[in-house]
Amino acid sequence: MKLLGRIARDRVALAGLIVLAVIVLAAIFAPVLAPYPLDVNTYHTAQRLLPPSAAHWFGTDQMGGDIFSRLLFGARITLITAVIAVAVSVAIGVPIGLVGGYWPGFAGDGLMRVSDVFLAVPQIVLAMAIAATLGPQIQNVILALSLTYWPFWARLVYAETRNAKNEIYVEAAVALGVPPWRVMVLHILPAIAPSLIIRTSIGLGGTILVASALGFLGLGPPPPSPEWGRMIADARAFLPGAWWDAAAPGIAILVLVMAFNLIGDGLRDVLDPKLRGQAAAKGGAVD
Amino acid sequence: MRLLGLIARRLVWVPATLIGLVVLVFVISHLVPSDPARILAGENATTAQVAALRHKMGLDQPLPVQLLRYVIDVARGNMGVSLYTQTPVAGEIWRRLPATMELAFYAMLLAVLLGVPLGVVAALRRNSWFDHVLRVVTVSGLAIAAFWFAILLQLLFSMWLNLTPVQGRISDFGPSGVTGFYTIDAAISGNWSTELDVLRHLALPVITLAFPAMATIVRFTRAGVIGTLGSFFVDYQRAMGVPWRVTVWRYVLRSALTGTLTQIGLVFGNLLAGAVVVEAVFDWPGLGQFAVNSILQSDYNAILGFTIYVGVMFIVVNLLIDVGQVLLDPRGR
Amino acid sequence: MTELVRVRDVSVDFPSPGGTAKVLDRVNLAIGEGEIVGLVGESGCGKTTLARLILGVLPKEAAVRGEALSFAGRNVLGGGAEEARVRGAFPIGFVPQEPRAALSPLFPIGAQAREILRWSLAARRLRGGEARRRIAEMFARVQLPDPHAIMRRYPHEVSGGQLQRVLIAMALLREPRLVVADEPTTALDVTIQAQILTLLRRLAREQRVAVLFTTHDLGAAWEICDRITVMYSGQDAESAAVETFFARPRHPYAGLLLGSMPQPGAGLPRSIAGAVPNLVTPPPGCRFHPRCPRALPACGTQRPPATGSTTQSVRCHNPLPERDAA
Repeated sequence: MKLLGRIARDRVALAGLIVLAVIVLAAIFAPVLAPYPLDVNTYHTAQRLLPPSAAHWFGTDQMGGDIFSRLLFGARITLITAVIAVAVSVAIGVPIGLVGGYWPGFAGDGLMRVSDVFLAVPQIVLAMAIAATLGPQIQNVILALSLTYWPFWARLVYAETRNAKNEIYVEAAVALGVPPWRVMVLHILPAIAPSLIIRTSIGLGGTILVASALGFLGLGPPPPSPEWGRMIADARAFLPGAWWDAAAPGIAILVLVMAFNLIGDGLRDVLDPKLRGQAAAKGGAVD
Repeated sequence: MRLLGLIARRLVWVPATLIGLVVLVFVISHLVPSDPARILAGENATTAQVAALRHKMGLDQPLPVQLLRYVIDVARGNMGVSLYTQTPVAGEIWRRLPATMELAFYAMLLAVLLGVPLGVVAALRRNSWFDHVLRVVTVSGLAIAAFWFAILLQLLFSMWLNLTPVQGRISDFGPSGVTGFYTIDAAISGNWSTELDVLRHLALPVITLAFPAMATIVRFTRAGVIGTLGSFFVDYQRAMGVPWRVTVWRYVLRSALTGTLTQIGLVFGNLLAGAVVVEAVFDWPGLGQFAVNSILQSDYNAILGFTIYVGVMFIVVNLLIDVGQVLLDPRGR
Repeated sequence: MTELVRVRDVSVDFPSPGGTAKVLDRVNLAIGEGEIVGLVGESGCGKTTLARLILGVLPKEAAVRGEALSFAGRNVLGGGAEEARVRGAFPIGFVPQEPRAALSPLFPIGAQAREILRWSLAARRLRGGEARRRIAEMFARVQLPDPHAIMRRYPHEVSGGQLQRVLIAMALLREPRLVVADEPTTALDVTIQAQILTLLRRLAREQRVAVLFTTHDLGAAWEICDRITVMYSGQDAESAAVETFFARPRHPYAGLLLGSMPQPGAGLPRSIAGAVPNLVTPPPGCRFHPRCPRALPACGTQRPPATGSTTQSVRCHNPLPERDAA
């Protein structure tokens, strides 16, 4: 019974991986796969708000655009936004956390106080403020997400570095006169890598949620961009009649975020046997 | 004594964090040069009129001076005037606070009341069908976009089934009362039809907010219980004849909840973040809607005010959690 | 002496990553009314598994087979309702190795003692004040200073030695006929070990409670036991009255074990050549035979039956000679 459960668990992670691969491929080959690749920018007012059919699998929107085609192109926006934003926040947050955790005195405390300021309000509020000031552009959304997400990584790496610094192999390296940057890169970073990888997967999912919320509030890329959040916002006016218009992008978000979360869970089981069981739910935890 | 020390040590950082927050948001809102005076003066205003207004608002001063004046004003409890409504920001926030708090309170209550028992049962029946079903539910709860879930609920319960109102906090006027929580004010005045109306308005936004919060609590409780079930004291009590249910629901749960409590801050933060979009969807007259409106209108006095308020709330909640943690775990005392 | 506990040819297997670990192999053990029995062996010999089997707290994945595990003559090996009924009528006190791990850190000591008392047969209907008095009385009997103060404290506020006294008191609160003390002094300072052992022995005698005392320390067993059972790699090797055993052990392993005890003026003790076998693929027959200087061909094929008397029984094809032959 227990063995069965373990296999099932891995299968779930595998399912996440397959779903993600399908979505990524669909995004890459959107121009080929989309039945109506031009529908991202063109209007067919005669065909507006058609229910799902063989010609339009997920129906059409208020401009007569094929929702399925728009979803495929929207996946590009969503994935690019999330990947760049998370990469930038990791690139900023990890070095800061490493340095702060390695020299936890004045400098480290100072860095952590700075990240405290960012963490004192929900990320979406700061991201909204930045995105609104800079104007609704996809670059601005990415910038807003990166600028507000790095403190999370700094915090995480700070805590893990402080723990790792007390490990005997790190103390030994320090005692042997290995220079600090080498200790950080060659000894501490590999030790905390598993938890970084896990959080990256879950963080990608979380970032997609925030980004789509910005899009929903009108702070994402401007129309006629097929950004999923904006598609849902636009579809609201046509409820309850054209329910498919609002349903499809929401399902797309749900499936994609779920895939990232499941992969994160699966990675946790594989990469971090220490965490198995006792902290299996630390998904997306701040600290 | 240790408790007082902890509170003192934390409180020392509160002003610094808040000033940092004000500076941060101030910088953000001035990233792009904008001219609120021009917007305010209207399209037909002459250049001279705009300049006069700009001078009156202190916008002709250098940015650092503006910032300093703002910080001093906030310290005096003055958050300035909303550029759009022309009303004091502090008053507006104070007026809207109960709406958001009522929403957050019931969402948190629902999430805890459902999440803790479900988490315990899932842990006890690990890998059973119940556990698997619950896992699907919690994974969905953490992956669903709150604004979309809200719309889904509106579609189902308001538009198709006609059970709940689509939007708003109440059908006509709010009950008069001291708390600002309509559920409590209506109950105090014994106005049961209003109470029912208030509850019907509350239902969907509360469910929307509670769903991801519950998912988080279920996951942490489950992990905490599973972790604690491996403790030796569980075997010891079994060998010594203590019934299983007593060990689980008294001793194991208490240990697991001590761990879950640290996550309440996270849950609360997510709840506030969720409130921002959920209030926008349900046209709920709270702080979240205020924040969205202010941001969309670049009403930066309002943005600053809201951010400071949320920052204070967040810091207080985290402090309370730390205190609660110490109280729950005697080893920290 | 009436027989209180009987383990007859019981085997326990655990699933492990490398295969099934045969942790106990057809083990026999007997404990008489009021008798103090030492279960002696190296780490990994299965003594803790045997203790947990008797306590009824083996992990779920353990597979138990065998003839009998009986309490006051009633077999519980079938499991189910019968086991629950027999165990319900036969409370066992448990004094574990790590007293601190046995208590929840989040509740005062008194509350946890009260929990034990509340669900024990002996005191199910005691009122609050009366229960507190009973606990304080028992705490005093294990020589805890200021029992009421200790009851109010949390486990982390009490020293390891005192905590072990608390656990002995809690074991006796159940008014058991048997106390299982699983290496009760291993985690304690040497000076405190002796006090705890003396206390355990005195209380067992006063209350006429039998004790199963597992230890790897032959000296400690000598101090307090009436009888000793030696285990090696999941098998029982020899069982004898304490004086008989120390005068002349008959199982070759027991003899070598005794010889490896440090003695004043005797130089460094001898160690036993070879290593303890792994439990997934243990040697057939007597598991000690690959290391045994007296091994016969039969030892590698057949588990020897118990021979000898009730004072000294040994499971060996080629045992050391009896006392008078020496």
